[in-house]
Amino acid sequence: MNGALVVRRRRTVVAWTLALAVVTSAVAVLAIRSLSGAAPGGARGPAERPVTGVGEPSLIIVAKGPFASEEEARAAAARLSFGEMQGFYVDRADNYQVFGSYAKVSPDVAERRNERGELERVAPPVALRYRGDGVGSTFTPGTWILLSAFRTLRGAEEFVELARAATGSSDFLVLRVRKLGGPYVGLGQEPHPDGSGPLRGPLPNQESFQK
Amino acid sequence: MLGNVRFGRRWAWLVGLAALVIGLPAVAAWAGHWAANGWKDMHYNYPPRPDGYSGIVSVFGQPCNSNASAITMYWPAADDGISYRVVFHKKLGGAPVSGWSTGKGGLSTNLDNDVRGHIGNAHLDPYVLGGIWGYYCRYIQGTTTWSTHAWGIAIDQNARYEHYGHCHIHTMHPTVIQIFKDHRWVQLRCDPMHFQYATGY
Repeated sequence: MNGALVVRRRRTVVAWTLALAVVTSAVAVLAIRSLSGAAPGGARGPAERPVTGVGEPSLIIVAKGPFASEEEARAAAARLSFGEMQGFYVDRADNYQVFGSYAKVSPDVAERRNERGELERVAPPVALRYRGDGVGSTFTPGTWILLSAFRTLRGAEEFVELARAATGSSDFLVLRVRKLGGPYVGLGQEPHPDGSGPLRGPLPNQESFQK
Repeated sequence: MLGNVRFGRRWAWLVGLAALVIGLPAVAAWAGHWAANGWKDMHYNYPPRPDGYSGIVSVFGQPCNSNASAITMYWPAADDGISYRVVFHKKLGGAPVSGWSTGKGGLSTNLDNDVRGHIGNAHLDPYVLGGIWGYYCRYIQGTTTWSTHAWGIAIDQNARYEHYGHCHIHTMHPTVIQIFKDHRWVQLRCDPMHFQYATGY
């Protein structure tokens, strides 16, 4: 009688232990999935070919920095969130020969009346103006920068607007440069001036779209 | 003494009734003032919601094409009081609405009139926070694959407070989410700030 009772108790303990292990494992799996962040989207489209822009006569870069080391630059890039979209890339400042700089000629906040006549404070579109060759900043040799590169002024202006909304700051360097080497830094993410789709390669008269 | 009490009760009833008669229409007007000012949900000419990359290209064209950034609206953020520019595809808004909007050359009433109007009409503007944007010709982070933002068919809200890749919500109001869903928009499970007019992508 006592022996049967002991066996039954052992079985109960084993059953409860197994049940607890199963529940704990399920919770752990869910927690890990949640922490690692499963890919938000489902299937994605085709990948575009990354073009570095080395060899093109001139590009525009929207840059932040400089930073003393690559680690510092990557940590700064990781702190800036653009939601699903690609933000800044990281590269050596030495990979850029700077021709001149752009000034932001639009305000960050303006007042306007909406369709119903109400006064509202808005963040207007960004407008940049080229200040000329030889005017503006250059980078300290050996430093690192956050940047995204464009072939047209419109592409740079759109990115500055996104970066302003995403970071709450419009403190960026916008420079006309030649890329001397280094990795892919975002070329191709701007509309083609003819409105057909993205600008996947250099334009015949690229400089005229930069001023 | 008893008479005074009865008289007082009658007065209390009368005052209560008067408050109801005057107050109810005022509350109703306050509760739906967008509608009272002429806004109406039109549900006009919504495009089909595409599935996957080829479906998106078939309905909305190439990423970053000129229609993707054809319509602009300003959406106020409650946290800083600034209205942010939301640019989006011509097929998702910008059509005129009689007595409300003269239109912006768009083909439907989806985003700027219907979704935006429902959120305003339901007094949910205090829950729409900074980090608001629509079209940008950008890839998905860490890839060279187009984001749905590049077609002007995605909008992010509350991006300052929500986190890409986190599968939980911090600040998005459930009714705001439902309003987007009721108008064919999809919220991604692990990107709670992001609504897109497409599935399978």
